[in-house]
Amino acid sequence: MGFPRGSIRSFSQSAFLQAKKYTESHEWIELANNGKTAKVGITEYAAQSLGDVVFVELPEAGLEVSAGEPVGAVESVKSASDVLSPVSGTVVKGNTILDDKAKAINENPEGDAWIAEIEVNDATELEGLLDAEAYKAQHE
Amino acid sequence: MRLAHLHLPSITPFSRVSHLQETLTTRLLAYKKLTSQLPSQSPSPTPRSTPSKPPDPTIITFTPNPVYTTGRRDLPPSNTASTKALSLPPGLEPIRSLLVPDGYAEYHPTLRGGQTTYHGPGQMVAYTILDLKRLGLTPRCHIRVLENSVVDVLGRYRIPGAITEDPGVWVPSSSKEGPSKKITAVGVHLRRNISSYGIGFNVTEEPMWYFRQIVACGLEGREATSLEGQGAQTSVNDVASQFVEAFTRRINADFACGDGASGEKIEEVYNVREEDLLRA
Repeated sequence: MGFPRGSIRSFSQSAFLQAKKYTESHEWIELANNGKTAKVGITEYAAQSLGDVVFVELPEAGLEVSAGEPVGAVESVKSASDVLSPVSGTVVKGNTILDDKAKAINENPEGDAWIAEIEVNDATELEGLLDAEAYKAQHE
Repeated sequence: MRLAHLHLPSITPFSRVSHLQETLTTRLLAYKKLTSQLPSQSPSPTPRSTPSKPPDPTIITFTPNPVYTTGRRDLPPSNTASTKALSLPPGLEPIRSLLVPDGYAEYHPTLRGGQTTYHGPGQMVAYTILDLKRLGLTPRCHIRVLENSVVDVLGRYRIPGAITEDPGVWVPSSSKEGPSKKITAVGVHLRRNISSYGIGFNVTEEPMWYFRQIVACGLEGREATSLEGQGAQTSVNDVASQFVEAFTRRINADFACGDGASGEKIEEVYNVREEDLLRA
């Protein structure tokens, strides 16, 4: 019964793997090795359910956001969805690749097509977010 | 679940409906936040563990004073700069003279999807404020339901409606050669899967002059049409109730969006008044 607690997380790579977390509103956040900055984007699942993305609104550098506040928006044919920051912090930059090529979001939402880089106020805030398993479980 | 329907039969300022919509959205978001913080994950055994019932989804049907609205792709340069001149997105510059205070039309930037559009007398505007998740709809699917509901209403008037790769709902030209004309514009905003905004459905020819002043929805050289323009005599009030009926039917059709929609159905539509919504 239940899941095998501990057994799958206790290998050496775990610190690296756990640097990527998810929100139930379908954002991901991945802490860089410096432990201070993180990339934020939308998940594969979100990109797929939105359909063809035609426009991405990027945040301005210097914008201060609290967890759950918009850090951009992704617009598909006629719906614009807010992208919410998983943690609080300050925007370092938006991903300008998306200015010219919004549909990169459909191709690689959890890679090249990240939306914002933020300097996080407190890296421990990430601990309260969903890990890959929990995220997957909530939309199945 | 029950769907609240607020119909505003007289011309209503756009800002009043915006405010109302914001109140309803905030309420749904607050509920969502509350329930997502609950430690109880996976199947909660007793319904008692839910703090309260989620707010009912709402559909508002109304007709505003003449107003041009833009989506978030067309935010104006910056309205915070303190100048007396109205800050307009480039697309609306040519009609600046119409938008002066006490002019022909108002201008409201919004956070919805889609580009510039017009709303005003002779049009039935329907905004759906609902949790897409609860209804089992993806964002794309929600747009399809809105568009298909318009096609259903057109069908009652024996007008063929087409959903093409261009957003919105179109009426094919009767001459076959000519380009199709747009009868309904669509634009939605989502935050945590809570939708706001919706559609603008042309009922009479009155909005046509205003559409001719702009490039609507970023589509150059495409014309608008209306039910009246297609030979159907009806009223905004009738179209509003027909739309709500069609929308409910579409939501309740399991196959509305294919792949096993898993949302709740709408068991009942009830009419509400503005003051009921604000009090709730």
